Amino acid sequence: MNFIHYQLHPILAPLLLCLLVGPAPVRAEPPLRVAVAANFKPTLETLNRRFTAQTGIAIRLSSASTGVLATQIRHGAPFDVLFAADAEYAAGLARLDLPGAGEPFCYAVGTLALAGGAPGDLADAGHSVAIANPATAPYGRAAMDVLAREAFAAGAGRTLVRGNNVAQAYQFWHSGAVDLALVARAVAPPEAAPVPADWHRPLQQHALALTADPRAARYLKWIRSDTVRSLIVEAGYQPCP
Amino acid sequence: MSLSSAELDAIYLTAALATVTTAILLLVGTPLAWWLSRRRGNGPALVEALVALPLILPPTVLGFYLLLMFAPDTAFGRAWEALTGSRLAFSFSALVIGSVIYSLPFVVQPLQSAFGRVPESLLQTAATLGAGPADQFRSVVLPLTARSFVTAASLGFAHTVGEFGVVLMIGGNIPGETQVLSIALFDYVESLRFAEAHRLAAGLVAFSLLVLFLLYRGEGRRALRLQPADEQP
Repeated sequence: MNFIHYQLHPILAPLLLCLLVGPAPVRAEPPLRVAVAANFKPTLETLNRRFTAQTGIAIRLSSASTGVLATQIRHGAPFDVLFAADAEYAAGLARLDLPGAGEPFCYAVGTLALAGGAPGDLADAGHSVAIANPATAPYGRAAMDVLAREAFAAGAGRTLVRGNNVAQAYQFWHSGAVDLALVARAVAPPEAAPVPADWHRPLQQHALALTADPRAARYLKWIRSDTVRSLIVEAGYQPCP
Repeated sequence: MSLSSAELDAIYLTAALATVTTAILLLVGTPLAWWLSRRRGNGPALVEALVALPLILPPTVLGFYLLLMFAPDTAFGRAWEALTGSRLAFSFSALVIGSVIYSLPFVVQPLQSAFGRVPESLLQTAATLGAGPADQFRSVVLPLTARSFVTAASLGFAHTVGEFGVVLMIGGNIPGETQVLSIALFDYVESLRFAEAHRLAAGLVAFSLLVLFLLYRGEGRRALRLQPADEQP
């Protein structure tokens, strides 16, 4: 629908569109469907604009925590590419022998940052902390590693608020409802305190093609180029080993 | 104010989902409501309870079962792929199936209530004048209950627009395919894109208020009470 500039009222638009009963608008070529872990979404949106401008290949992004995306893919979700927040989920999907699936490779190494205070505040049980859900988000597990450190044992009684993924955990903090957020550095504000990488399990983020679509291979080859790798580092990630 | 193409996609998708769902619900719900309004006993009571289940069950229950059922490695998922050539999981068709189940009571109950108010004597009179069941329905029942069809369709449509939990579980948040308005709004809030979130949220409030206002103004409160006819004055 990019070809027309609509000027419609938000109330009138749904009513007018209700009158359109028929098939969805037909596109010449369906966009490449990319699933991305929430921490990498803002970075990938920027990268995708470059890729689309260079190649004309349109991309549709769906974002959630890596665990949620992996469950969806196991249940048949139609994605061509996955950007996971760690290596394990990507390896698990590679073992499924999906037809056309490629080898997972590292595209970024993630680090955590603490928004709203200094690491010392984690030792105070009076500060509530927002993290991603450790059950589905690798960043949530990494955040739990940090909170479990000996130095922060005094804060064990703290209120822990779990977002569905780092983006929601950060939004909880941003709303002012939570004192601190322990989230990906790439989604945290620049003034957030960086968390040393050896305080938590490694966040080696792997991506893989899920279908044999040649555009997916081309896209991932571009992601591995030196230019893109340096852009990823600029966005708040460490380079892959 | 200009809407982005992602927002327009979500509006179009939501309108298409609600329209298709409402059309199917009227086709399926009308005979079902008629049957329920004319029968008493354990069987109909059980069916009535099943129809009403989505009113009280958390949407996640329905979402969970549908997610398992739609997977490509289940009998249902395989049969669908064999019949249609496309995969059901995380598709628009999957959302339609989920929405039909989820919005079923909102269409069946107003119709059933209206059908229950049609006096049996009128139908018997029509029968003595030689009208068959189809003719009775067309010439007697439909004119008496026409407004309830408007109510049922509006509620079914509006409730499908307002769906969130089921779509979140079986949709997969894919823009242009399964990312309906409520999901797009969720995504915008999560991404701190509050300008877009405000636009969609305010639009949904206005739309829902308008639908309900028109319904209440058109029919008075009676039509929206989801109760059998014998409680009516």
